[in-house]
Amino acid sequence: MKATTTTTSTEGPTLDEIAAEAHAFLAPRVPRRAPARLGEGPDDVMGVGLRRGDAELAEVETARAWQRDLFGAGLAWIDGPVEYGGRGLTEAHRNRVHAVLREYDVPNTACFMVGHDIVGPAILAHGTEEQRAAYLPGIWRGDIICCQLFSEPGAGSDLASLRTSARRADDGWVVNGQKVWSSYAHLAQLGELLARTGDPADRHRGITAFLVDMGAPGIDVRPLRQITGAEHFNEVFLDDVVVPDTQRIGEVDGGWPIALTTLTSERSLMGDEHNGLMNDPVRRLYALAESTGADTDPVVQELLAESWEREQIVRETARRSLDAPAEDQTGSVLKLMSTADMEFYIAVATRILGPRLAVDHGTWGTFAWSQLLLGAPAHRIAGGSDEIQKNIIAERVLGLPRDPRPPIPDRPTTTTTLRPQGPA
Amino acid sequence: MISAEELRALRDATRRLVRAWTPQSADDHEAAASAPPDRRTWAGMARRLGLQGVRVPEELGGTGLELEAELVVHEEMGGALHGGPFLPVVGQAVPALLTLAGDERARTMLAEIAAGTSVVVPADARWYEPDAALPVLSDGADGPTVSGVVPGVMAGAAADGWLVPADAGGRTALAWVPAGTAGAATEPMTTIDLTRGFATLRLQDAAAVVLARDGEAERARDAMETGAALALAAECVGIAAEALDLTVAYVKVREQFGQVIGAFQGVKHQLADLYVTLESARSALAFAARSVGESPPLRDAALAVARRRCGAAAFKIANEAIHLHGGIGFTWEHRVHLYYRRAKTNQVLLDTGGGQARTIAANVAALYAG
Repeated sequence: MKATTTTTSTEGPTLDEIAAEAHAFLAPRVPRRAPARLGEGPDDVMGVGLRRGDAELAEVETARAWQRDLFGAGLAWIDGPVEYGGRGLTEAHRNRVHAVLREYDVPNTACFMVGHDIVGPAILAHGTEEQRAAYLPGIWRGDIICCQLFSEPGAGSDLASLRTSARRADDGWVVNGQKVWSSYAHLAQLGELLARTGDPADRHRGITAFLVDMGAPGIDVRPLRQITGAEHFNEVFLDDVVVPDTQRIGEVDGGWPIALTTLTSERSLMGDEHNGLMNDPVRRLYALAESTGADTDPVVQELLAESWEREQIVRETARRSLDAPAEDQTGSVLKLMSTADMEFYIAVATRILGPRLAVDHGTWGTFAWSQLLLGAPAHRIAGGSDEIQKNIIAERVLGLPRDPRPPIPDRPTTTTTLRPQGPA
Repeated sequence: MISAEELRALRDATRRLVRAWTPQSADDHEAAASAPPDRRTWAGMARRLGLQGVRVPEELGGTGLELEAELVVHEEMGGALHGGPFLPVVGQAVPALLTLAGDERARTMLAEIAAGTSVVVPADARWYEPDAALPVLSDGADGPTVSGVVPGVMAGAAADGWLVPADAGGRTALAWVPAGTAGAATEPMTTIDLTRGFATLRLQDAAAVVLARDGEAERARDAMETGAALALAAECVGIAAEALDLTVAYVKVREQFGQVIGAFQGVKHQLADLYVTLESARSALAFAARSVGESPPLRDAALAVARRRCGAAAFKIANEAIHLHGGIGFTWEHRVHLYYRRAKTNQVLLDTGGGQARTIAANVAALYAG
């Protein structure tokens, strides 16, 4: 977001001042997330994709009310431009506020993640003035939940092979096709769509990006039940969906750089301590070991030590990434670290819990780890699989030869890099 | 605060100088090890770039820069596999002497170190052998003397004298024993690391100057240990980065099956994993360096993170570097094995017997207990 923040105040609050402001807002509203609170209340380890049906809708309503208050207090979009509802401060300010938020038991706002970290940044970077004004305040106030309409049954890691088409019509564009793995599409008001406007042989050069009203006629959202049992992502069928040309982002056939912005935003997402994927996993592991008495086992002590070590390292890497040039691909580094960390935490919980990881004995904070066990495989696929992240590092950081790609006929070989995309 | 720009300039200048003045091959390192200590390089590093004085205050002839700058220099020393006494002098002795900065003798030693005219090396086995017995300090008729054996003194044979933590009747003292003192002798030790010498220091009723006692001596000793850990961890980052660079360069030119091996995904992904490993070591070091002023549980846990992660990362990368070089990597002529040797040596010095994991576990439990 750094590069696209147009209004940044130079005389704003210091980091300590913004932290104090956040504390002043939070303290009267929500309890502190203190160690003593482990053992009571919800024991969720995962931050996303836990509820379905009415429980999920209730969670979303709570999140919306909370987000409205946060927005009203000027604490929602710390590093966003003032003219679109942001606070106009720096990424460092944002991270500081998020660190403060982590100290409180605030409602789960994961349903806004796609809007805040993926679609919002794309609109800010590539949208028209009208699009920014129309959507950004709502996205940050919690009125608009967003989804991506990127992956297709035949276009996963190889996103540039997508086939959903957008054809010119009198009143704009007519979209036909099928999207899949669209997180939050069943709740979303706004979708960021990539559609084929050129020749499929042109691959990434024949793709255009649009903002789609998810309530438009012809859109059919079908939740997919996942291994967690939740319905967090969806199939989306688009059948003669009319999209006005004013909803186009960027140039016709110029959607690929916009997709790249979307994917680069993962840097913020994966590096952000407030990303909501996990709820304080290491502190919970320590508490778990203490409650079962496993904390006196030297093997468990070493596993706990490594858990804390991993958590600090990924945080420090995120901190360092703020000053890193884009070509360092810190987003890919952070994603690989985070997914490996998640698997490590599961291994530690497994060691401590044994059969209680598989069978719910009703003890607080035990069977909750099965959420992480069942949810973790998604994160090695989502947002670009581990293998894609490794290709990005190998090719763009280390300068190793690129993997073979299908040739693009009758055009010079492109120098634009393909960044395929898995589910969001 | 030193700027990113200044740090980069310091790194580049150090890199150019240290690489030019460090032996490259195993044969050259072996030759250097049996030759007299290289005082021209030592003096040149001080004269050209003031490297020894990176932390020494300006009024004593140093540049008085922050820890971050010192660690950049250690990284470059590690990347070049420099084997002189830089680490024990700058990483250990200087921080210890800085805790005694009111002491005129300590100030003189710091000034001589900064000028490149003195090699002051600590003789303390605690940072890798926590239970090792200290030499004994006795007050004889002609003044204090020390007796005892200190193994594993880094660059011990190249020193102008040793800073020796000693046991003075159950209390700690920090003694200074100049080289050439009757009753003080070093013996070289056989090591896997061909690039750096270790010696056993034998002291038999050797006349000593007591620089500090009790709390003051303990503080100096703690500064030695912390300084050594940070410096070795920084070296590991440099070793890891250089071993990875060497390997990436190699897989871009080595051809098999009609293409460079770096085009195979099996190789690319392995190297990408190693890059993530390197970044994790960089983060661990940055975290520890940033935490030196924090509360003791956080500071100690953070340092232990760097001790574990940087050593492990350097060895992992050096090991894979040999593997990805294939047979040539297993030859005496190719220098990649020198990284493997240095990395393992640093790793075991940084974390002995899993002790650092225990340090983390205990301190984090204290942090969480609040």
